Amino acid sequence: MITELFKLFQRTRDWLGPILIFTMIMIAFPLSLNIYSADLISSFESVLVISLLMIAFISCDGIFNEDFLDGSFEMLISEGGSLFQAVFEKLCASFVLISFPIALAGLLFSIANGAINQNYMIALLGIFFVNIILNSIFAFGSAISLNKGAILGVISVLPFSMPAIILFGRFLDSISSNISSINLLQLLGGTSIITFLIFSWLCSRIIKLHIE
Amino acid sequence: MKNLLLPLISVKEYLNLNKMIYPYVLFLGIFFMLLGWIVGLLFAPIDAVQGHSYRIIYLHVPMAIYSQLIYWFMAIWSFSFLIWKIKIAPSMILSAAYIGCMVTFLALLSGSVWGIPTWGTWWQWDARITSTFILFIMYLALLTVNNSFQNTNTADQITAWIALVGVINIPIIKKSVDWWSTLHQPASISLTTESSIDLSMLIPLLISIIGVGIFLFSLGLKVSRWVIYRRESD
Repeated sequence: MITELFKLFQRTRDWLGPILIFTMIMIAFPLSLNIYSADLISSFESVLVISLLMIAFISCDGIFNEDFLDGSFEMLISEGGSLFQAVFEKLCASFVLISFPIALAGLLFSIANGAINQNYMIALLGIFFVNIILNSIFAFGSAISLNKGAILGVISVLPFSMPAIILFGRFLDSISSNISSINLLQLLGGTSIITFLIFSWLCSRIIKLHIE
Repeated sequence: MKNLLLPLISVKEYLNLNKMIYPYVLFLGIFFMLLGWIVGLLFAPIDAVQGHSYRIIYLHVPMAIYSQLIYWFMAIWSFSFLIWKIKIAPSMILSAAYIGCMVTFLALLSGSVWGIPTWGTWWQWDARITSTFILFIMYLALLTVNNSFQNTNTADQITAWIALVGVINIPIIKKSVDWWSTLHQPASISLTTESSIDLSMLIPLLISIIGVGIFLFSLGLKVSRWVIYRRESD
């Protein structure tokens, strides 16, 4: 886990790039509207969801390429190592270095745009959990499209993100309306853990298939 | 029992059975489909609110039902392929994807045509329509993925995994009209509760559903034969 974290940290473009793109979208979108706070609040949720989707796609694009092309995965299998563990650690590293900072930035911009007025911790966790779900799904897409280009991965897994988007939409609605959203947060948290584990396993199966 | 299951396991047995039953299934399908449509279009009463435009249900409802059922069929075959490595399963998944794609497109198209006189718009980003549109994209994605790999085994396994994971969207499509306030009406016919549609309209609708189902089954037989031959020749 620490090794994967260190490896990802050294590839600055891979983790800083998505964060910067997210920040730029969040800064740029109010410029496309009339600067009335009501417009900002009503469109902020949609922009946040689309940005998270896009960033999840960018951050997971080619996540397994390097290890696949340099033969690390192949060597791991031939040595009897666990591919699932390798994928699990890789995704964990991306959650720490990409998803959490994005969740933090998402919260800050939500506060700045007036979309969230209280329950900051719940909002932060909600955005983080949905990031985990989306990253796990797009990592699966990335595993499918190894050597085939990113588009194939996106079109094959984008429909799976629909339930997560629906759930997140409900969560954002309840947060912005100051309704108790703890149940939805628990649901998001549980779903993120299950999705993370299932998709890590699926990714390892698909990578193994590619190697075989 | 083994003899009954043999066509599901052996390609040769399946093809023999397929050729034998195909003409009868096709005839039955066309017969019931036309019967349902003729009774529905010519003899069912006019709807008090929608007038004649409601008659598109005899095409739209069966297509909408089968667009989801075909996905379940595909998912079951995917499961059986991944667990038991049934040789015929990839051909069945692929055939179902072709037919499912066509059926979902027809469901969307007929829904749009129905939407113009009833809602005043041919398209609305409401929950049911959007989720069905996503189902259409899923079918297209499966076909794209299957055609993207030169190694047939890799393509089959990846397609099966995607089909299996994609099942998560089917209950969402089904329940979308209950979970959201949408333009789309809730289901008028149900297996568990009394249906809200009059019997004189319901009977031709049921005949249409049965007829379209049998016709699609015959189409499935034809397409699966074509897929098997194409895969064998590759």
